[in-house]
Amino acid sequence: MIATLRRLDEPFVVLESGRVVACTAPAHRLGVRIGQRRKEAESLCEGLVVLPRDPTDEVRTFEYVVRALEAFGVEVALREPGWAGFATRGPTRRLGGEVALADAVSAAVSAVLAAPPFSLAEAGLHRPDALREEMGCLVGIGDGPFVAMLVAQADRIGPSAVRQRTEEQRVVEHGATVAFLRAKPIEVLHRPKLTEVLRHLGIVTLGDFAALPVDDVLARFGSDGAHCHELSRGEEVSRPLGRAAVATYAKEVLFDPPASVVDELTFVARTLAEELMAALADDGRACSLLLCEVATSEGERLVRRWSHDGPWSAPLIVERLRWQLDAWLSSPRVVDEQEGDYPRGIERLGLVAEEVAAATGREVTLWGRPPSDTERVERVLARVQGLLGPDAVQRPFLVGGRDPRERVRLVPFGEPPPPERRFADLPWPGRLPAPNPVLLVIPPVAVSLSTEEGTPFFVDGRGTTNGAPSVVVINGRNSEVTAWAGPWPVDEQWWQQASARRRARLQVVVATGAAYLLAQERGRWFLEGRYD
Amino acid sequence: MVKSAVTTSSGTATRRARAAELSRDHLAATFSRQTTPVVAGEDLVPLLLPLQQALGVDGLRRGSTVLLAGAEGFGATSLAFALLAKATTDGMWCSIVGPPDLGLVAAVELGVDLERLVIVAAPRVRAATAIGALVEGCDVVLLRLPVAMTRTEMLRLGARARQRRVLVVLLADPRSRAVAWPEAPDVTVQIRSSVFYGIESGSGRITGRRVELETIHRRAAGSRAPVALWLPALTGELRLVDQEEMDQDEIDQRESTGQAVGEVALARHPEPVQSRRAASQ
Repeated sequence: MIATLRRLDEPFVVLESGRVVACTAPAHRLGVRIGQRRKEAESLCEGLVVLPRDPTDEVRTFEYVVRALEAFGVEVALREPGWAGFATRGPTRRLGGEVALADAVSAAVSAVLAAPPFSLAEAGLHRPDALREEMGCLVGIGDGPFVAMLVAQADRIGPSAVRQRTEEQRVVEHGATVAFLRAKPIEVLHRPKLTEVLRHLGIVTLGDFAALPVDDVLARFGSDGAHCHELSRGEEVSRPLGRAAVATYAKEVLFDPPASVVDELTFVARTLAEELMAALADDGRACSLLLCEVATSEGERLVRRWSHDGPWSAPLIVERLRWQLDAWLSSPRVVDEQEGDYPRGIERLGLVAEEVAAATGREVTLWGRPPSDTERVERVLARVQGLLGPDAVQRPFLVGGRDPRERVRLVPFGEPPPPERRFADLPWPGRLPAPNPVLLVIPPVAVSLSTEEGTPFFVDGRGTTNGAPSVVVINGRNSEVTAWAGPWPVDEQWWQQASARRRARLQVVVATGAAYLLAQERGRWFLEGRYD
Repeated sequence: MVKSAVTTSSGTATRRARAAELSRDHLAATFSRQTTPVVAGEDLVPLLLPLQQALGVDGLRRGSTVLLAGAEGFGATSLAFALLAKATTDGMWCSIVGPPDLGLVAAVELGVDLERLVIVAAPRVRAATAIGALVEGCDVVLLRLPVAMTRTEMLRLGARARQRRVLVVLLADPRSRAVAWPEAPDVTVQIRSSVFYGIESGSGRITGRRVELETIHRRAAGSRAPVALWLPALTGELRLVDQEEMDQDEIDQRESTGQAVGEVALARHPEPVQSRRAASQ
């Protein structure tokens, strides 16, 4: 999405499930905040441009930033497009200090953002009083991922302060972790139920929480609460134990001839992911870091690590893989003298489970956040798909079209939304106006309509009728027509003989109070929908 | 052609058993002492304001059962969509179990957010397991009756839904007079009449519909007076019928030649269960 923006000084928001997840600075200044609903945001800002969230695009553009980070010689782990982390011991030694590292990372990311395809420098955002978010890079260094994330979120300057970067804000020294965490509110743990109970008890900061005895917290709140207590004390275990001692779990697949179509790759990757998860589950282990590696036909080896809150599942792996493969297959080549734009072929696809540890009752998390509602629902729906078949659980998407039947595409759960979604809001002349029938008849059932004289009711090519319909026979039952409207001719694809369709639509209300949508096609009447 | 090379650690039976044992012990140790704090206030599934007024409730209690009944074409399915509308826009996951003939464009018009909707094809086998699994994850489950479950399975599903605080909405089958659900629902909404507006003899088109609803709460004594609701109104939204619109109607009816379009009152409440396997039980 960032790559398609031309001017960042226009108000844009990105929506996900009806709520704002990101906005540009002009929108932010007018009062748009993350978490607001679409209507609220639009009312605050006139001329707001709304874009849907596209994770594939985000991963593709975040690749540039990740490559810049990899230049520091570290293994970068992505949590989601926009958040990446790595262990700092090596680069710190090389660059002479954590502050220097933070500066170098910020400079590197800013350089990436200033160059195409982001080109933020052109948009004139390097102003002395710019908010740090406008620069697009928040850096934080701490003892573990939880602390580092808090530090990064605190790494911002208010609009009134001078643009003098206080480097000290970006790094929390080893000894200063406890002091840093002490004043943070307990909401940063992202556990709403736990937070509510603690507030009732009068505990409002992490420091207060850390002061409670460990055993009591474990007894009252369970292992999840004990984990939060650990985080509040600053004793986060940043790597699950037993990393070196465990055998590697790896699966790979060879493609001959090399595959370059993302769908083909993800189809095979699905079985691979399931085998990997089964192998881990058999041994009672879970992994928190997944390594995807790909060997192309040109001899390149591309590697990416993904981290995730909670346990990995096969659909989740396939989704991340899809984003990643899309990003790799469509990104410009790093080393290529030729001008050719032929797609890369992938010869080998491998999945390796890293950071494997014994699966305890609590889910092993790297970033300390519990699985969200969506993931719980995903698991449940995947299970129902396992029981009834993948096509039995579907999600609806509005696509373009004129008929109530073709305007909604049902896609099996877990598959990506259809690309025709973008046609949904375009004008479709001849579209059935609101209200649409609530029940459709699939496939349309043949019915017969007759006039008062008893002759069949007919609509001719010019749209004129031969009287008024008086009786409609549906499924052998006669019903008296008390009101009717139409006919509305629909002429589709008349320029193509194969797919041309001419219909005339009619609405009828019968004596029992029901209303139906009928259509005449090739001289015969069909029931298309019921208004229930 | 795809060749697959697999590297994995060798899992022996004893190692697996030990891993399972460790997990079990850990689980026992953790969950025997754990208590989950109950948060009040998340107890109601939200409703659109006109529906709140029509049904006389602030929202539908999670874990309860709601039955929507009406003759064929009276608007029970539209009402079901309208009930789900605010829940989906508020982020709750709703699943609809039934035959694959829903007009989902109409759902969008009634305010449903398709992002949070899941359509499950009516299962003919393992229905109880599948719908039971849905109850574990979704916030609202809409069942289009009849479902292929025995009476005991339905009772167990109802109990599980109550425990998991999942709202179960039942859409009665208009073709059968009896309701295929063993327990009395907590709320029953009966559509007594439905009139389409906007359509004449050969002109206009269906633009609005007025229904008359009667809500019966199981625990409340007596039933409330029927309420007239636009589902949807001529302008497209949902709202209660104004007093002046009702007065105008009376005047129109007195003036007309007595030709009322589609007013049929449902004379009886749904009778209790008729299970498919009644003979064997």
